[in-house]
Amino acid sequence: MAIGYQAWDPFAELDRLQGEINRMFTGASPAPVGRAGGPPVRLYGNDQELVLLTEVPGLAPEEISLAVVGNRLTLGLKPGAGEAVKDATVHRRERARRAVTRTLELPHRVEADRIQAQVKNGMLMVRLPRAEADRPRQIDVKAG
Amino acid sequence: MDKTLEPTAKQETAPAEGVERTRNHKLYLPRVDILETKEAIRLTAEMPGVDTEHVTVSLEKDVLTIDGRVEWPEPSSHELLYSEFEVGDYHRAFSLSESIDQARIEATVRNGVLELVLPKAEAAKPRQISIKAG
Repeated sequence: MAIGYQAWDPFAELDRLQGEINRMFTGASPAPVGRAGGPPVRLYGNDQELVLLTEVPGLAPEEISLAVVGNRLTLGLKPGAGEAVKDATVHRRERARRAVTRTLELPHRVEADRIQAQVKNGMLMVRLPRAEADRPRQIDVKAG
Repeated sequence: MDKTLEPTAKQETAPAEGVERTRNHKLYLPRVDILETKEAIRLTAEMPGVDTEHVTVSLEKDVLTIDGRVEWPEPSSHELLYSEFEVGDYHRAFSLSESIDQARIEATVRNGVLELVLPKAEAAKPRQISIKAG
């Protein structure tokens, strides 16, 4: 039985943490460009593509804009005025209603023509295929 | 009512006392707007990732509770490179000072936002009292 062998490895967790810290300082993570702020994001990736996730509650697709130049992605959110309620007393107003833009530096260049963006239940998911020229290539090593 | 949320990062919350969660998701307070008119109280709550089928609204003894369960398409064959927020379920409770006509409560979910219209009960509406000359 291999159960005893698959014991918890405290170093694996440390390695993961170390990796995250390294990414933080080497600039491999998409550092926000310009002023901070804008919608918080999550970024996923593999060899083929990057996937950006952000929360856009209440926004219609036409209120969201995306633009890509090189490896920079600009995300703009412009919420509409919303329906006005007459003679209302405001008890709470926690929801943000201002327009924001944010530019992210992506870890590599992307194919601008093949980007897909979809908004569902207030979650925006953007698929950014890695640029062909930027993909890692396997090189055969021959014996001399 | 509980305190107003600051317009910063998502704020985590805990389940009600004595209740244990069975889902491995964090629990967040949804951001809300609450407006009151003569006829009704209108509440809008931001619950990104939640659709119509996964929202529960209950009103019991003047306590309004809203719950949203996130059905989330986390990319499975990808590594998380960078994260500024976490995805989780939503829960928040309010105590209402007005009595509400429970039968006429309307709830809709659109683009991850819950809109609630809570019509006031007849007895709670302000009444115009005409004063007659004696």
